[in-house]
Amino acid sequence: MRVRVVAEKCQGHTLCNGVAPGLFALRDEDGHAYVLVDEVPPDLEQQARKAALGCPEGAIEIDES
Amino acid sequence: MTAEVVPSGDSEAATHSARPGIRFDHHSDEFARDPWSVYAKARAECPVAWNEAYGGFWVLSKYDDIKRVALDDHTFSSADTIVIPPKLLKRRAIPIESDPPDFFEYRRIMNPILSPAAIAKVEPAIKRFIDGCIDDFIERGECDIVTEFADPVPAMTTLHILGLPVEDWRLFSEPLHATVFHRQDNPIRKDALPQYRQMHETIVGAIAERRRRPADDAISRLMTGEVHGRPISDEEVIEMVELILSGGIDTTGSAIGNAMLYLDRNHAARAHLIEHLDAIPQAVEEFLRYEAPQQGLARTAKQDCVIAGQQVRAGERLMLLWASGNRDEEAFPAPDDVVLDRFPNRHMTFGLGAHRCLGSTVARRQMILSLDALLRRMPDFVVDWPRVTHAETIGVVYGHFSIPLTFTPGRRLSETSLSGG
Repeated sequence: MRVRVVAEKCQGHTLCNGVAPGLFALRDEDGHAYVLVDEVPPDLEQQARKAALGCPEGAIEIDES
Repeated sequence: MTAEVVPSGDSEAATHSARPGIRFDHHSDEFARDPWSVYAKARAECPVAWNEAYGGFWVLSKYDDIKRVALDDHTFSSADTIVIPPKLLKRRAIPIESDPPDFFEYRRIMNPILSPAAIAKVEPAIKRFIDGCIDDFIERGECDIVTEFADPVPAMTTLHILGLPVEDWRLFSEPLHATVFHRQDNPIRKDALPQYRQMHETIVGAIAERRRRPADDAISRLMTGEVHGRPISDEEVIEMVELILSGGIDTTGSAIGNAMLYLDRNHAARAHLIEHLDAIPQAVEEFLRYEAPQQGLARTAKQDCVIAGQQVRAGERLMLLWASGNRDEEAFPAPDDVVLDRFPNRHMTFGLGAHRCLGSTVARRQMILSLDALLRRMPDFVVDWPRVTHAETIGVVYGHFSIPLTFTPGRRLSETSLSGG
């Protein structure tokens, strides 16, 4: 699984970092999110889906392949 | 309160060719007692409706319609006014009352002072303010959680971030309260003008002082900003500082007060959180959804457009009711229930899109730390409901003037008083 933060949509709500701190970090300058891993480890896949579902801007995209 | 839904073709609305109308005054006492039934009726009967009050404006009450407008800064302007009716003092609050590209310039300057990384450094101070305020009443066994806690904690936190004197918090919170919680025709607002000027002069003085001697605080950092390649002006810094003050003080305090009232009405929820303090962060999201402290903000259409089948004309104002979107049954199952671990909880309390509340991290941290401390130190608090008074208007911020409560007295954590007496 791969996960992506769409930069144009992310507004820095920070909720993904709360749900999945191992997958999403927040930039120092504005709190907008970025992804920490190339490939989502299997044990964090559920967190990745949860982060995408919880994002109020719909800024997180998941590639399940 | 009941909102009156005006049928299409009503004489008053006839000039606007068959617009669905709705009549309510969001600054009225009736509305303050129960805005929720107005929103429910609006969502059910006329989700995009024209209200003739205050010169006329569209009322958007459904989550998806509100979201669409909030995300489209190209069609809908924030630069004109974001409150209805417009403020009496014709002062601009930036960046919230600006549009791209200026908006992004201002936001870039302001982002670092309220980012999660910056707020993590402020956290020890927030805890100090929380503990200190509780210390000042914990031995008495009674307090007013608004005036003795929910007012001072966010005010002190905001002043601390800015680098302004924390002990002078009343100098800032009093004129802001007078404005946000009273109707425009209330003389209290005029009476607060000298305090407003004093607040303004304090900010002007702080800028002059930092011009001579830069400090390690937000005002100094704002002053180093560049707007479209030129140095930021003092006026722009003042407008930003005033926005941080007005955005930072009353909203968070109101949310804390509303959460305390909810936890008094619902003992099972209170017991659950006392048992599971680590459930507080998710519960805070739900409190924020359930009773948005900022009920709604306005936009102005820059061009003709159609929203949910309604023809909106350029120049017309639209009220985006975040608080109603948060109760939209199509966006949230059982929206009128508080579900402490609700997920997903994509509430719009901090707005959506580029204008998303910049203070959301510091607001959340204050709410979480406040509820944690209050539930630990006065878990058996009882609200004195007959003496609870809501603000005169909740049309801008949904808050209270007074929430008196009693509890089993406890011990101070520190012997030194925060307020100096």
